[in-house]
Amino acid sequence: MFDDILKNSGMSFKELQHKVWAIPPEGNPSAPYHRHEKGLLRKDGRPGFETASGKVELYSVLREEWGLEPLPHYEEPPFTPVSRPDLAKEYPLILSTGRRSFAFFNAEHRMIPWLRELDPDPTLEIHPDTAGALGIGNGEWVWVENWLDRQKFKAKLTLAVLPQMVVAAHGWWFPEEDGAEPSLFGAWKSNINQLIPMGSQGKDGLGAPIKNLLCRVYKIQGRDE
Amino acid sequence: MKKKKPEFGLLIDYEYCTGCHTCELACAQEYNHPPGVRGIKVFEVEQKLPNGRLYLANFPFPTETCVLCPHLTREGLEPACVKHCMAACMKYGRIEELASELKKSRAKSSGSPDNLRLTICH
Repeated sequence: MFDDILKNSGMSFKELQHKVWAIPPEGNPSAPYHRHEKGLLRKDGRPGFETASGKVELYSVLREEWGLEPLPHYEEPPFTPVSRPDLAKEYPLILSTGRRSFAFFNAEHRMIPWLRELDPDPTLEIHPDTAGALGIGNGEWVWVENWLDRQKFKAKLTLAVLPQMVVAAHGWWFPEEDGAEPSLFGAWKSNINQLIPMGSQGKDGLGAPIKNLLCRVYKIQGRDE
Repeated sequence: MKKKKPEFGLLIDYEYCTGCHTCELACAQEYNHPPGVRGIKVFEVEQKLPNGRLYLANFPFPTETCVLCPHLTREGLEPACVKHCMAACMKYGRIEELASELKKSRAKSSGSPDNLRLTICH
C-alpha cells in the first residue's frame, strides 16, 4: 500500500525507509511547479488561476458577491486592549495560544515517553520583566485567568515574547492521570480553550480570537490549589 | 592501558539547526535509551545582545553517552543523529577531514564565523 502511495516519487517504501527523507527531483510529477502556466489549476484547462478573472485576485469578486469585504483589510479583534479597554484594566496581558510544540501535533503524542520528555509540561511563555513584576520564577506553576475560567500552566521565562504578552500551550492532557470521567486524563486542568469565548469569529466565519485574548497571570499558592 | 586517540567526530553547523530535536529521538530509538538518557541533546541558547537585539540559537550537543554509532558506520552508514537531521547540519567523518571542512566553511562565511563546532567523540 505504501509503495502505491509513493508511486509518483519513483521510490519504493523500502527505499524511502533507507533514505528517511528526500526532496523530489526537479520535473518530478510529485512537485508540479508553475501549474498556472500549464492550465493545471482551472476546471476549463485554460492557463491561470481558478478565479473569475483567471488572475490572482487581490480584489475578490466572489467575496464581493457574498457580501464580504473584497479587499484584504484589518479589523481590530474583539478582545484587545484597544477594543475592550474596560476588560484590559482587569486582565492586562494579551494572551496568545496555538503555537506548535516541536514534540507534539496539537493534542497528539503526549503518551509517547520519548516525546513527552522533550516537552513535559503545559507552558506559559512570559517575558522575564513581566514575570519578575508578578513575582513568578522560571518553572513555577501559575494560573492563567480571564472572565471565563482559570487554568494551570508552568511559567517559561523567555525573551522571545513581548513583555505585554503571554503565550500558552494548547492541546494538553495527561496520560498518567485518570482516564475516567470527570478527569478525562486531566483534560480540564491546563486547557487554554476554556478561556476562549465562543461565537466571536469574523463575518466570514474565520478567525476565532485564539491569538489575541486578554488574561491575568498569578502564581499558584500552595500545593493543592 | 593507553587510551586510543580519537579518530572520528561530528561537525555541527548549528546556524542551521531548527531545534526540531529529531536527532535526540533518532538516538534514543537507535539505542532504546529510556527517557532521560540521550546521546545527543539540543539546547536553546537565548540572550539579549547589546544592540537591543535577541540572539537565539539551537545547539545540538553530543553527550557522554554518544559512541558515534560504530555498528552503523562500520556498514558505511551515518550515525543515527546525522542520518535523521532534516536540516542536514551535522556531518560525520575523520577528524582531519572535518577540520579541513571547517576551515573551508570559515573562509566562505562572511557574517558569523563561529557557528561551526567540531565535536570529537571517543
